[in-house]
Amino acid sequence: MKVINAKIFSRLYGILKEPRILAGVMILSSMILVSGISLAIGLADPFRTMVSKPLQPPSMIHLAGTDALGRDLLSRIFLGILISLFISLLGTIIAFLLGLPMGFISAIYKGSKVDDVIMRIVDSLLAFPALVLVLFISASFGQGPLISSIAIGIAEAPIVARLSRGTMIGVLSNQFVEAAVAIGAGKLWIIARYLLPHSSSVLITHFTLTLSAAIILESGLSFLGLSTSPPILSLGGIVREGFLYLETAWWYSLIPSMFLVLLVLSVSLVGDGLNDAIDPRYKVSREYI
Amino acid sequence: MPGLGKIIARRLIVIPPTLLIITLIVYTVIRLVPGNPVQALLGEEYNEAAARELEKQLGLDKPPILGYIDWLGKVFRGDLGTSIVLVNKLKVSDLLLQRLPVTAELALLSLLIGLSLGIILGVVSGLNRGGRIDVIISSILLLNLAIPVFIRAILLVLIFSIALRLLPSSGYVSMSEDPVGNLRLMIMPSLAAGLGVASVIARITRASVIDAMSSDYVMVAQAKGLPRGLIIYSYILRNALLPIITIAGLQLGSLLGGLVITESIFRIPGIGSLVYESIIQRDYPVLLGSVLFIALVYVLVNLVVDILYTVADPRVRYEGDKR
Repeated sequence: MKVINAKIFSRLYGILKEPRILAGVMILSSMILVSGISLAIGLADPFRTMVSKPLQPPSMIHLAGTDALGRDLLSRIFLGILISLFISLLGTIIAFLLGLPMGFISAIYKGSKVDDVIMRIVDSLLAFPALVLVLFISASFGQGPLISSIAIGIAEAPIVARLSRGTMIGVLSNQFVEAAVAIGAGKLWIIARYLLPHSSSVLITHFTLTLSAAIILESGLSFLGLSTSPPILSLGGIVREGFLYLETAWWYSLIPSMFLVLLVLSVSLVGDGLNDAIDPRYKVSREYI
Repeated sequence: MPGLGKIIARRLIVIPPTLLIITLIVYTVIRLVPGNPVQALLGEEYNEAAARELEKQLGLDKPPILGYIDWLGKVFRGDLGTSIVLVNKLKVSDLLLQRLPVTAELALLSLLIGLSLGIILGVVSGLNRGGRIDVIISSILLLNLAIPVFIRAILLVLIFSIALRLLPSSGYVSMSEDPVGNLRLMIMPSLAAGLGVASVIARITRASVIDAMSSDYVMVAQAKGLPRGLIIYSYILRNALLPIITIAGLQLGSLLGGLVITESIFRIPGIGSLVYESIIQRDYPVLLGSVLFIALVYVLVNLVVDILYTVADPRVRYEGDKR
């Protein structure tokens, strides 16, 4: 047991030594911790309106200024960070729940009718720009954070399916899998014993990269006003509010924008770093995400 | 060498099923709308006449399969229904054609900016791999990839309209009315959209330049003592830039998606803002028509790109035949 623990730690240490991953993890975790804690202990109150202090520029009391209703902008940004992360994380999980099985099945039955049908569906889904598909789904089923997550999940699922199919085919072509098949191992056994463990690091990388794409997608959706509704807004929604006051209150849209970019950047730093750290045979081509 | 016609035919064969599945996906979404779909889709615009109209258009008064076939027949005849919100009952197909030139101009300008900037940055970065220039360019690209299109738009407006007062912040005049005014209004939107494309193109260009630099034929060329300029131009760039054709086609998808946001920020009356308006006004036939149209354009453009690539690179023909 101790040996395994030591192994995990040394591996974790090895990953964290990569500067991009370390920077990404630090930025991301401090953003989550600071927002979470200051909201929890009441240091930040995103709902308290002060009618006498609307649209105040950043000062020592209000580090990011105040919004049109005199609410503290930084507190609202803290809440926005958590909302943005929550919706896009849920969306990414849904994308994997939908896309992974498709990719697995496709890879196992590579070249068959099943593979053909799945890949044709994936191609057709990819013909819709992600944002257009998300808009179409959320316009059809009613807008809201949960629908946004589902829509983001459906839009990202074909990319997950295609990438995981490629990864699986790579793992399946190993000789140890052939050997297992030769001695009569079943499909489920091969998935559990070989495919999942051998692709876990690649899948984690996919997950991180998909998450950063999902955050951008969600921000676009809420910037159009079609995801979260006031007063609980994700970062994109706050930027949208601020955009109305762009001429008079630059900080109103600019500061939440900076936090949004920082959020995406921290996640994609981790993703890019992981991508370079993993086995080059299974490298994800980031460009298609 | 196998016939080019055969390869093009093979690419064409997958188009009809893809288009069919696209319509099936769209129709499934409509059918899955819970409760009374017409009422849900129309929202506040709900009234008996509009409801009957939409029901008939989408074949919702029939069982799913019959309704789908009915609707599909109309779609293939180019009949995408009529707007239920706009007073003069515009046909969706007319509306789309009316807005297409605007979006086409914006998309072309953005691609032009994206491709030229992306290729230059990628080549410079790749040729100086590991050097200071490479590190600087790569970091800027990474940062730029993390910036959503609307934030780029806001930054541009803050700088060029509000701080410097150089450019109008939004609006549209057509090219034929006022060419200079048109370009002044189009600069910021196409920069906002094009810079996103540039990052992706640059990263791929850099990777394929590095790839080409480490290839055997470049090493032979260097061993022969050919001048560096010649090696870069006719050995590295010509091989490295071919894949960019394909990537540019694929990028059109996210570009078109981004145009929904860009066009509504800058109030440009293209297909992107049509999508947005149709959602806000609950003009469902218009939304449906635009979504189908965008997917169709994407598939057709990528078909053309595929064929171009096959014509441009003989290796694809050879490998395509082996498969």
